[in-house]
Amino acid sequence: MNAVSAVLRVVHARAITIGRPRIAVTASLTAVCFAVLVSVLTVLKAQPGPQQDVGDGEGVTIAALSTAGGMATGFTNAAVLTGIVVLVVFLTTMTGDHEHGTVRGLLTRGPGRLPLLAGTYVTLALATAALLAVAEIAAVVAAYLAAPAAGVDRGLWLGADGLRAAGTDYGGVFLACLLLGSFGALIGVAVRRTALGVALAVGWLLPVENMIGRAWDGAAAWFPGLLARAVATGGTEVSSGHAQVTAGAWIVVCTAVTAVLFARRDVTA
Amino acid sequence: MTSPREPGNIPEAAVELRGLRKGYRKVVALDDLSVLVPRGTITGLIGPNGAGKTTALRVVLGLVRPDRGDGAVLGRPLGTPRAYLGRVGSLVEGPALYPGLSVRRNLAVLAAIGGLRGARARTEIDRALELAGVTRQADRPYRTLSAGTRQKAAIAGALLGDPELLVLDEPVNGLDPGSIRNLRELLPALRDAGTTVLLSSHLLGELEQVCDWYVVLSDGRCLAQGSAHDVTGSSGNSLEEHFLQLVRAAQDARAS
Repeated sequence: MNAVSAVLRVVHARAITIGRPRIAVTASLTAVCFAVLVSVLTVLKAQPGPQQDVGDGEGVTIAALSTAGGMATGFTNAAVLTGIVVLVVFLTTMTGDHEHGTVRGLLTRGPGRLPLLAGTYVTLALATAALLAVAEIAAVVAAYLAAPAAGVDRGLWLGADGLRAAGTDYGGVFLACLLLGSFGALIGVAVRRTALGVALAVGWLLPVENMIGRAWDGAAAWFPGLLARAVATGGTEVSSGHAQVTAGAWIVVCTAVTAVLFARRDVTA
Repeated sequence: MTSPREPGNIPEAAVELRGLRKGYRKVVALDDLSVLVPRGTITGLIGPNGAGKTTALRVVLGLVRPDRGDGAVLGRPLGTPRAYLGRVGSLVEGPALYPGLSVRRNLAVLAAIGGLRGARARTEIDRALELAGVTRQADRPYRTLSAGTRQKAAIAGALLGDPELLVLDEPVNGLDPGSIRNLRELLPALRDAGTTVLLSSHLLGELEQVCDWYVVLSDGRCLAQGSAHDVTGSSGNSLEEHFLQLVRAAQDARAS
């Protein structure tokens, strides 16, 4: 069995475990709810005034939302919340296998540790892509329906530029979610316990990063949660390019450390 | 095939462990352990609690890396589990399946990761469910099953794919007498069909009824191995009496 074949087998097997209703429906519904809620609030709270960067996230104006790229603004503003859903799915996939002992059953079928991890990542990334597609469509529909009430012009939204902007927004949120997901997988493989892992990961991303961010301007350029926001919304405190490169580096580092831990540590009850 | 029970024969090994050592912090789980499991046998791994039985099985299955030592499983080096695990079925450290999935879906996960798909996977799953006696509960969520049925579901998982080597750690845990009898009949049938079975259990009476080769462990070392006659020698003792004597002597030697 070569490595590619092993990875494909893992993807097939993981599709059954990750696709089970409790995970797939719960994660999708949660992400859709966040996206719709933030999208509607973004439109309804839009203020009159000159056009600002649509990706700002705060104080978005009606003029900004009326541009071609305005329809997915709520979706990008919800990126960190959606990313936390993705993080929890990545993390619990890792910890659940240790807590239930199912990692033994998977490993003893012979795929090898790194192919098992790679196949798991591929499946989770595909699931994330599907989840974000559903969330973005829901967020755009919600924004479209809410726009007239806020006086937002939807005329440019469904043109070629609008769809291109929606695709770019999707890419940014996907990268942000992969960043948070790989961070969650690392914490999951390191601690192997769901409650502890979720507490550590979410505790770091929300209160700790934000507190440090208020005291140190550089935090937004380096910390995963703040970077994820910058990647998804196009960046305000840091440039979009810097945010994307640093997020990519985070993903590589988190995945490499996860792989080393997963490959080297004994699997015991 | 070489019969390990015939005097003078050097059996062909399904599993061979040489000089294994494995420590966990201050505890030495395996201490220069050398073991041979002949092909085509039902080999019983016996030893008191903490003897190193489960650790030895974990090493065979690639779940744990020994600190030193080597060996081979199904002719492939011990350190290359990917090369042989596709031909191994196992139940180690108790049943562990996805609680939210049915038994059948759980087996589908294991079949998929083992490379079985489509009609062949369905046929194999049905066969394994029937052999393990869990067909009736196949579509129930694993978390709703009794401990004994979970054990049977896990045994079904181990039987998937007609493995050359079947590794079972305390397989009768939680089973009712009827299920124990079924397993007692199943294992010799599998052996006769060419499967090597490596079995660990505390229940020497159970092992005596099915095993034709024994490995006695204590404190991570192999005290004796061979057929029942090889192990008990000319002492005239039962396997259980001889096992207790061996372990006591080893513990006395360690204490002194």
